[in-house]
Parts: sequence; structure tokens; C-alpha cells
Amino acid sequence: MSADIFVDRTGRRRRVLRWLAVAAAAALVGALGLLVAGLVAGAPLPLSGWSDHDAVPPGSESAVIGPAPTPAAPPASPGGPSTAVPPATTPGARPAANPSATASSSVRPGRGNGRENRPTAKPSHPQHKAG
Amino acid sequence: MPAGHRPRHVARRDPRAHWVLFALGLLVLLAGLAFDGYARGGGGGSGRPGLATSAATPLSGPFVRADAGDLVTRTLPARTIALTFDDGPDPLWTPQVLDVLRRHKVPATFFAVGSRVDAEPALARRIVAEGHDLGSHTFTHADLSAAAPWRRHLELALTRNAIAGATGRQAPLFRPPFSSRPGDVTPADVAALRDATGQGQIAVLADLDTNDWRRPGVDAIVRAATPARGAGAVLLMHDGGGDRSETVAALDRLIPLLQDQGYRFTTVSAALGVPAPAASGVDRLRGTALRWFQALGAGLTTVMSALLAVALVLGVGRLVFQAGCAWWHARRRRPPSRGVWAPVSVIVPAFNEAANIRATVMSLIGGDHPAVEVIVVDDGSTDGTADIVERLGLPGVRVVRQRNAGKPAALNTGIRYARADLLVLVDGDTVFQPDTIHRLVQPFADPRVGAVSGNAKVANRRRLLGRWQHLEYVIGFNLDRRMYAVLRCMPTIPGAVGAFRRAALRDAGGVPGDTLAEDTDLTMALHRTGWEIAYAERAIAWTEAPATLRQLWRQRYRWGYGTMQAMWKHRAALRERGPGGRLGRRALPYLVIFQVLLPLTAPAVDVFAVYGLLFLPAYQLAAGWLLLLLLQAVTAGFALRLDGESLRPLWSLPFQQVLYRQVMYLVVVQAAVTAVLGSRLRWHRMARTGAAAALVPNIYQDRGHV
Repeated sequence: MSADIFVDRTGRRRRVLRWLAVAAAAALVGALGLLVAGLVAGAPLPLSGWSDHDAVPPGSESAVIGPAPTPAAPPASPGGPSTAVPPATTPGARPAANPSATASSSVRPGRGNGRENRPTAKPSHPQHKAG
Repeated sequence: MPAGHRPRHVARRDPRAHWVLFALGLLVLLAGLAFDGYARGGGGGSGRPGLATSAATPLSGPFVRADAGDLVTRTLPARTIALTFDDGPDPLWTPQVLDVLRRHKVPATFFAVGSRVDAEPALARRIVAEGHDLGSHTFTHADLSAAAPWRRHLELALTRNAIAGATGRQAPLFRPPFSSRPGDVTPADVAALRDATGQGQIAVLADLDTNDWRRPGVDAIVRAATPARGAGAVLLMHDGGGDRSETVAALDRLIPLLQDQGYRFTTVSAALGVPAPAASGVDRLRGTALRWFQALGAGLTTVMSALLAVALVLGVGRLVFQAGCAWWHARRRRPPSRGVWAPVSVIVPAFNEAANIRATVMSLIGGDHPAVEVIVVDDGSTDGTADIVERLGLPGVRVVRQRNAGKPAALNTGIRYARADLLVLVDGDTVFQPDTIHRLVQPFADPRVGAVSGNAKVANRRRLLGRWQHLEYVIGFNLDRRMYAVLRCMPTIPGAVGAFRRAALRDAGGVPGDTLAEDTDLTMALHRTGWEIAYAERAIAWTEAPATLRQLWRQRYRWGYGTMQAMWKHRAALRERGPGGRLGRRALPYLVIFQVLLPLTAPAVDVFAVYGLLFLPAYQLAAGWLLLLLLQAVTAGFALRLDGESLRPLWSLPFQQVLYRQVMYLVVVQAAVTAVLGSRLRWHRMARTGAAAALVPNIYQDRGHV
């Protein structure tokens, strides 16, 4: 009969192709999945921070972005302490130095983006203001 | 060009699901190309061109991290060197740098470009395995201070994923590309650093920039890398992004030199006490996924470039070859123009052609050729087509009625009733010029010629769609036909206008009814029975082209599918001798390439054009496009001139690239899928408006003009 060229009489070809199409679609979706997975950012780094107790050789300086460089924190921290002066938020309202802060920085939690070092910074404020 | 009527099969619905797959495929292609384009976008080097204004508050150390939103910096102690290498990993130079470091037993820090880590994961692993630090230098060597925040985060996140996937480690260190020494940072740099260090990474600037990427000579690099007065320093060098032979040579001299001065070498992580933590399983999976997708994108880009090159060569070669053939065909000496005066029977199969039939019949009997009989075969019309013809009461016009049986059956009926030995087959919507029949039968002066193709032209070309089809007919069909005529392998005599010897039709077994393109099928069968097919380009028939996209789609769907059926049916011609072999080895491959394969790849080419818009230089894209368009326009202008047509419709050519071109290839996709799936194709019919009929008076006025 006319138009029978190409016509799939048994329906077998159609079934096979349907499975192939499903497989191809799955592969394509998988490829898009790779992209999406690759684009997702990981969690903020569980950074141990620059440590106050190891590896940093003596003599390293510390510095801040701020109105003026501040002298180093007490040499009690062997790693060469770091200091920070927030340029925007005036620390005037903050409480005076917490003497245990430097020590607390060595028992910092395992993750975070450096906030655990905050206590180290605090003692520096009065110094800064003094200087 | 079969135009016809066959409301007989109750078919399965046209397949549709493949469009989902098709769209998905194009989406993946575009995403892969775009990602590859993005990943390749990186440059290299350090320092920006031009002078930069420094920040009011420069950083005082090369190591920068965020501490509660503030930037805290550190420096190296005296007599300590941290070697840092940017822009790698590079398959050529990074191994050499690593070899030098290994020979001197010195650790270093590599700031790798994330996309290159994906390309060279083994090198990244070697860097880590040999005790060096592997930090991030963004994914594409992007200038973070000039980038939007989302881009900064993307660059850093992608690179962290890439390093985690390749090495299983996190990357706590990063160096901003184009970064300068801590004292030279600009306000924008500071803002970018503040933002970028917010995710916990430590930025590493450099104390001494060796400028090795400018290749200033080994001595200059060594000099630039030596700190003054025993100060500690982070040295900036490069192991990627260009020829780094000077860097390798300088390194080999620099290390012993500094060691003699009492310098100690350290990695940045050791200096800061920030070892790279192991990446979690999820992070590593993300990195692996990213690497695979980047590899997929690179592969797709390679394949597409090759495909584009092939398509371009084929397309341009076709145009040039067609134009050459047409030029040769037009110059060739013609047979004596008025030699054949034998009687002619014209057969008009008609199914619901009330709008055009009167004009068609009138145009057939009013012509130059004597002894023309017209047989209108009414194929079960319901709109009184046959009555219209009978009421005309014209001498020499007969009406044969049959129950609806399809166009091939109607033609065969007409052939049986016809008395003459020369038969002209005409569609019921076609209008002839007075000289058409006479010109059409002239090639029969050659006894080897079994059939002649006329030149079908679009009558309704006022609107844009009609004008596009007019151009397509004149360029494609006219140039194609002249080329086929020169190569003696014409695959289709259009159903609108063709002449046949009775003996040839008998040899072919009449008009075949087993494909949807009975005109192509018949023409191919004639070749295979040994007849020659001629082209009479001055035998002009005016036909009504589809006026809406939907009708155009249906018409081309049927042509495409029918042509594929006919090619498949006559595939044995590939191995035949004589005219059949010419068809099989010339016309069939040509049709397969230019009417099936290239249209099937055209969507990918369009996706590549979108990619080009995003990632290629605009002038390059514009130049390429204009060149192609110009070539097309010149060919089209030549074809229009050959046909004695006005050049004015050429202005619509650029607009053909949007919409018309897409419809033309999508319909081939649909036809190919239908063929592969094995669905039955419904026979669609065009709604006639009588546009060709409206032409009749004009033609009589213009005769001799065309």
C-alpha cells in the first residue's frame, strides 16, 4: 500500500526507539546535572585560621587595614599575633580588652571564616586607641 | 514538488516527544559550548596595564584574610622565601618547574587556574603529592576587582570545586589574578579582597613580582627575585600561560643563590600554619562533575568546530558548483526552439480545486501549441470542481470523475484516457503561460529524453513568506535543476509542470503510489528505466505557494518525508549503470547531504551562532556572517538574472535567516523522526485561495516579456 515505506508495522522499532530516547534524555539530563553540581559552591572553608600556636616563624609582622598600623599583640602568642582594626566600625564602644581573649583563640572551633580569631583582635583596640 | 490530495489514511498522530529530546540536546549543547567558552576565556600574567591609583590605606603584608569583615594581613619572617607560581598547571612548564623544585628539595606554592586544573588534574595531583601547596587563582584568571560579586563567588567556588575534585583537598589559599604587591592595591582591589575572603579563603599577594611572564631574561628574573637586606618575601613567578623557559632557568639559579644567603624556603600554608583540609566527599563529587562537564564542553566545541568547517566547505562549494553549472547550462546551445509539434495531452488531477481550476484550464487551452487536449480528473471533489470545468464547455477539455483514490491514481486514470503520446502533468492549482506547453515539449526532439521538467514559479509573492519561497524556488530549484541537467541526474520533475513520453511512463509502470512524493518517485523510476530527463527552464508554470507557516510546514513535511521515502525506495540505483547509476551516485548523495544531513545539523549550527554572539569577537562574527550573506546574495542575484526576475526581493534574504531557515530545518527533523519511528504520515492538503488564478490576466498581458 502507499506510504508504507518506513512504516513500522510491528511496532517493535518504535518500542526500541522509545527506550533509546529515554536513555538519551537521561544522559542529557545527567549532563545538565553535572553542570549544576559543578556550579554549586561548597560551604565556607572550615579554616583553622592562621594559628597562634604553630608554624608561623617568629618575626612575622602583623598589620591591619585601618588608620594606622598597630604594634603587635603580646608576644605570648608564639605565632606572631595578628591584629585588626575595623576601619568602619569604631571600636570605641567596645569593652576593654579581655585578657583571656588571646588564649581563647587557640581553642577556637573547627570551622568558621575566621571569626574565631575575633578575640585576638579585641585586645588591640585599646592599644590602638592608646596609640 | 508533489502537491496533492489523499485523505485516505487514518494515521497515528505525528510524533512529538522527540522535540523534548531535541530541546534538551540543544540546551546541553549550548551549555557545554558556553561553559567551554567561559573556561577558555582566561588570560595570564600579573599586573594591569596602565596606572592604577593606590588605595588610601594600602595593605601592609602579602597575606590577607577577613576577620569579622576586616582585612587582617601578615608578612613572612626575615630570611624566608615563599616561591609562588601562577597561571598553571601547564602540561609543558609545570613539570619542569616541579623537577627543579624536587632537585633542590624546595617547597613552593602553586596558584592554579581552575579551568586548567580541570584540564590537567594529574598535574594538580602531582603538585600536591610532591609536598607543594595548591591554591586558587580563580577559574578563568578573572580580574576579581572588576568582576561583579556573583562572578567573584563563581570564580572562587568553581576553582575550589576543581581543586577538591582533582586533589581531594580544599584550597584555603587564593591569589587574585592581576594582583599587585600589598602596597599597590587599589580601592577596588580592597573591596574585592574583602568580598572574596569572606568565604574563609586567605588571599596571597606577593612581595616581589619577578615579571617573568614578560620574559625579561634569566638574569633580570633572578635579580628581581632577590629580596633586599635579608627580608622575607613572597616571590611571584609563573608556571603557565606562555613560554616559561626563562622561569625554569632562573629558578635553577635562584634557589642555590638564596640558600647561600641563608634563606629558608617555605610553602604559604606552612608559613601561616593553615594546612589545606581534606575535601569532603560531596566537594570531591562536585569537582569531578565540574571536570566532566568541562571535558564534555571541550569535546562539543571540537565537534562543532569540525562540523561547522565541513558545513561551510560543503555549503560554499555547493553554491560555487551550482553557479558554475547554471552558467554553463545557460550558455549551452539550445535545440531548435520550435521543432516539436506533436499532439499533447494535458492531465490535471484535481481534488477540491474550485478556487483555481478554471484559471488552470483556461491557461492550458489558450496556448501556442496546437493539438492540445486537456483531461481534468476529478478525484472525488466535494466542492464541485468537475462541474465548474464542465460548465465551461470548452472544446478539447474532458472531465473524468473517479471516487477519491489519491493523486497518483488520478494521474494514472488520466494517462489511460489520454490520446496523445506526449503527456503533460499539471497540478490543479497551477497556471501555465501561453508558451509553456510548447516550450516544455521541445526537448523531446531528442529521442533519448523520456521526460522534461518545467520551471515552477511562485505566483503569490507579495507577502514576506511568499517572497521567501519565491527566492527559494528561483535559487534552490532553478540552480539545482540546471545543475542536475548538466549532470544528467534530475531527481524530481515537479508535479506542477512536467512532460512525459507515454512509453517512458509505461516503462516506469505509471505513476507510483507508494511514496508521498510521487513526482520524485516517478522521476527516479524513469532514470532507472534508462530515460534521460531534460530541463526546460523557459517553460514556466505559476503555482500557489503556501501562504501561512502552518501550510508551509505541512507541505514541506510531506516533501521531506516523501523524498526520503523515494530515495530509500530507489537506493539500489547506487549500484546501477547508465542513467540509474547517475541518479544513484550523483543525485542521491547530493540529496542526502544537502536535504537531509545538513538540515539535521543546522540547529546545532544556530546554537553555535548563539555561542558566537556570547564569546566570539563581534567583528569576527559579523565579518563571517556578512561574507556568507554576500555569497548567498550574489548567487541569488545570479539565479534571479538567469530567470529574468527582478533583483528587488533580495532585500528579504537576510531576514530568511530567522524563522524561514529554522522552519526549513525543523521540518526535516520532523520528517526524519517520522521516518525513523515508522509512523504513518497523514496526507495534508493545502487550502487554495486562488492566488495563481488571479495571475492569469497578467500573464496574457505580459507574454513575451518573461
